[in-house]
Amino acid sequence: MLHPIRGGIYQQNNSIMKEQNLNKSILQFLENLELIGITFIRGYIQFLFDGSVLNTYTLPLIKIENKIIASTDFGYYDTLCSLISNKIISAYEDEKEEKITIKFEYDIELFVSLKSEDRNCAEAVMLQFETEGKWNVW
Amino acid sequence: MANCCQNEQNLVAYRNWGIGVEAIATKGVGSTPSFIVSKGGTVFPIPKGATGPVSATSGKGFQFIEGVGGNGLSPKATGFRFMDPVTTGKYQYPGGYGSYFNKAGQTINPLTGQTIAPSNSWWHIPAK
Repeated sequence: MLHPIRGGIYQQNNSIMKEQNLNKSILQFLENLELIGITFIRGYIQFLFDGSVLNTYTLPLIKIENKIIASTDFGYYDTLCSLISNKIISAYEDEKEEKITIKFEYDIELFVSLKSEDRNCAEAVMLQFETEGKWNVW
Repeated sequence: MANCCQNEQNLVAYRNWGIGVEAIATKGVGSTPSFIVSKGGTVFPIPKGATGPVSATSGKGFQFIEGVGGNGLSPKATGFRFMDPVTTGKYQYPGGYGSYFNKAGQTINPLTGQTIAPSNSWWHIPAK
């Protein structure tokens, strides 16, 4: 991974390695944030958290009361809207399962697949924190 | 390339940031480039006054953020993202691709400022 051809290249690769490690844990910064709104826009969904934004281009599955609801199921969008004002309990990436899990209060979970075959475009998820301004891409 | 890049040190730094980025135009040390150019000659204007490049935390690209239009872009274009080549899966961009977004984090047509769907060809502008 490290190519000491030039100082700059070495540093950049080293930086990317650090960034890749960060990408797993950056989801943890969603914890305790309250979902304040949802934008349904042209085939994808924006989850809004008082300045921070989570865009899901692969539409999440919802797990509620041991049922899984997909975007094609009746009530999907109403169920998503019912999450507004709820706080996130935990958020993490499962590399083995290739998915992001976001757990809300009242035992409701969202799963976003990161699998290539489930994607609607090159990106599956993007996350921007108010404090940073930059986008984190999965 | 020499005509557009007044600062060779910056150029080297930008090359190291993005695979496929061949040249940039700068107005001096520390200033934001007006555009970047891929190895194959695809030009991507950068929103005026944007900060960057900053990494995409996934380590798969870089971005310029918090700018406002200019350089032929809609005033609604506040940011630009250039992603590394994608060579596997359903959606492949072997030269990488660029994408513009608005203040709300929604991907837009960079010329009109209109929000677009992921299937729109302006969403992923392939770099040659």
